[in-house]
Amino acid sequence: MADAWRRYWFGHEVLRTRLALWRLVFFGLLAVDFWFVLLPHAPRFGAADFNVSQVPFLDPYLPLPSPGIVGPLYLLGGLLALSVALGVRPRRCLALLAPIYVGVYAWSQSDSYQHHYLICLLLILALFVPAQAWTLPAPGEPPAIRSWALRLVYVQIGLMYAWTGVTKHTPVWLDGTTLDQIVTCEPREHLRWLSGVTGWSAEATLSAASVAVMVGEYLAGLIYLVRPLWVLGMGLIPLFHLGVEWLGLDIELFSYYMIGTNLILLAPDALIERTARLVARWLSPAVRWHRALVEQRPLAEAPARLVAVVAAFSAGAIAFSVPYVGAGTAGALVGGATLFVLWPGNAEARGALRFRAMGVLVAALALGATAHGSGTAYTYYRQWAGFQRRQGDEAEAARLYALANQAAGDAPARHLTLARLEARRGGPAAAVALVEEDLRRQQAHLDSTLASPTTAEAWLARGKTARALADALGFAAELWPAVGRAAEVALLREHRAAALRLAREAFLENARLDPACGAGRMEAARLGGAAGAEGAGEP
Amino acid sequence: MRSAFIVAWIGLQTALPLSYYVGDDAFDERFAWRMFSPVRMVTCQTRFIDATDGLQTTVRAAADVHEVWASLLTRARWDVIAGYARRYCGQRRAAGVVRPVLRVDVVCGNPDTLNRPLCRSALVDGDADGVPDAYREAAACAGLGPRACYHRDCGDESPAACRARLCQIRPVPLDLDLCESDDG
Repeated sequence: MADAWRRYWFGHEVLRTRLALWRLVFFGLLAVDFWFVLLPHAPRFGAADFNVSQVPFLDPYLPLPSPGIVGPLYLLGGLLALSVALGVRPRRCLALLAPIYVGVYAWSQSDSYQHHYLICLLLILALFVPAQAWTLPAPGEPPAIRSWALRLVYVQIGLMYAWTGVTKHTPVWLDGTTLDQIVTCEPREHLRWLSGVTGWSAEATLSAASVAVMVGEYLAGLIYLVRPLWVLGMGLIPLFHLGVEWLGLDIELFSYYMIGTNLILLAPDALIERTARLVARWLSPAVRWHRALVEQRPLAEAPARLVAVVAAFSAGAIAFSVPYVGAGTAGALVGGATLFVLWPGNAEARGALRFRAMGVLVAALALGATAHGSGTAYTYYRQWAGFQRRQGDEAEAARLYALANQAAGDAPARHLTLARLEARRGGPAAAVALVEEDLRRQQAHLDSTLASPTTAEAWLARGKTARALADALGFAAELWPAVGRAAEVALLREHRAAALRLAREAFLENARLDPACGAGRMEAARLGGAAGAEGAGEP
Repeated sequence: MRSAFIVAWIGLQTALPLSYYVGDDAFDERFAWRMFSPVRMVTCQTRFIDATDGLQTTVRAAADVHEVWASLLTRARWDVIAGYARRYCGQRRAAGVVRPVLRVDVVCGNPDTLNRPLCRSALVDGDADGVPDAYREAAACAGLGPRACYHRDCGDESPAACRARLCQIRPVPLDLDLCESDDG
């Protein structure tokens, strides 16, 4: 018995190549998660001075979280996750990354996604994986490594699947009621198609799908516990997650984490080795470059420290430039963390320093590029501004809307919302430039991006933009007389009627192309009254 | 030492989900791996009532907090209800109210009866035969006719009374004074 226990936990061997591939996929996704999914949620933390942690009896002793600290922690978390993915001192990065992820998750129940809890557990277990397991074996080194923590990763994932199966053991799941309520229109159409193919009733199809999900989850649990079943799981479990995506269920990046994890952790050793060779061939210049960097003579102690300091300063400066609240804190945290990760304590560390410094700088540049070049900052400020507006703090809402508009580049943003706020706060003159900017952006968007829609979705977007244009024209017609431009009002109303007609046509086209699920019919009906009223005066 | 860690980890990962099934809070699924559970499908109406000095004033909690917390209130998350009560009672005491009283009326859909016809649709009885139209769906009645199926669920109760009993639950006792449990 004791032998079997020892063999199961302490004789568990995993190819280092497998772990390197998992590192690349899992931590790469984690960086995306930090920078694109979690970061826009940072303003929720501590909003209206309210918070409940995952451990409520600690609340009296915990400080209130705030966007100014959670945002920088998310930025740093992404940088560390990408550094792990790139193979930059994974264990040292994890020593910072795990407390950041687990700490922010534990700090607030506002984050209730169960897969975030799973990531917390996996990050904690990753701390116990030996440092050399994360890197590819050098020539002459053993290709596999024994790790009880990696076995526990498998068991943890297995337990999660099995408990998820237990959840489905109720009549309301097994008869398809719950699935029926989860799915929205498009997935429902997929299921209708499936019932057409099988010849079953819609109820029977839903029930069969529900039973299959439950059985699949139990099976997935078992597969992770029993190594000879891995290959079966590699084929089956990703299909289950693809099905979840096909049904359109909103679980952020969970399916992608699990598809990647299942494919890599459950693949046969031979397939992993073949894939690794293939990847190495594709990336051969990078591999050669990496080897050249790593195999150079170690730097002397003083220059090595200088390299670490310069890299830390550079990464910190990039983080300092991000357009988020707490950029100063982000700069300091990223700089400090980079120094901690790169600090060359011994000859081995000095030898790998050039590669590691390059890796962290690549991660920092990615941080800067996503912060400045994606729509994340716009979402971050827009949602925050909306909350402040609903709370009645118009001054703060206006300040945040202005930042959102600034982050939106040249795309339509929230100029009209800000104009309405400014008109209330500072009078009509304060709003004129904003309305004009909104009109310009909506019209440009209609004339360029949405000029020739071909899909139902694009027609819907065209309809919504035309309606937004009509809203802006309507507000301008109200505003202009107060700023001495009453003569333009008739023309504005004419343009508004045309925009409403355009919106209506686009919505109806959406409904024609997607009669089952297109929102166009409902949008056109909502528009009906307004368009009709405007159209009544037309020649 | 490593074996002890493994045993502790697996023990915790067994005990935490198990505690959900043996506990009495069906609405807090955080550590139980209940993805896509029926509980997630129901919503609750959560109304805080300031009952200080025998008055009954509705407290607009959802407007006081971020939408994410308001959403957790509509999912009857007890920690959030208690957290809001702690804050509200503290504010009332700071405003000079010596003995604030706060109650909460939480009415949720019953996750165990989501599949009953009466709990899935509005109480419409178009043909006025005393049996809600939802019972015309034969599939949910497993071969029973509408009247027999209704009788199975409700006996002789009126649809409204049956719905309140069968389809709704109140996870928090209405007479609980949330400020009292917060007294320090």
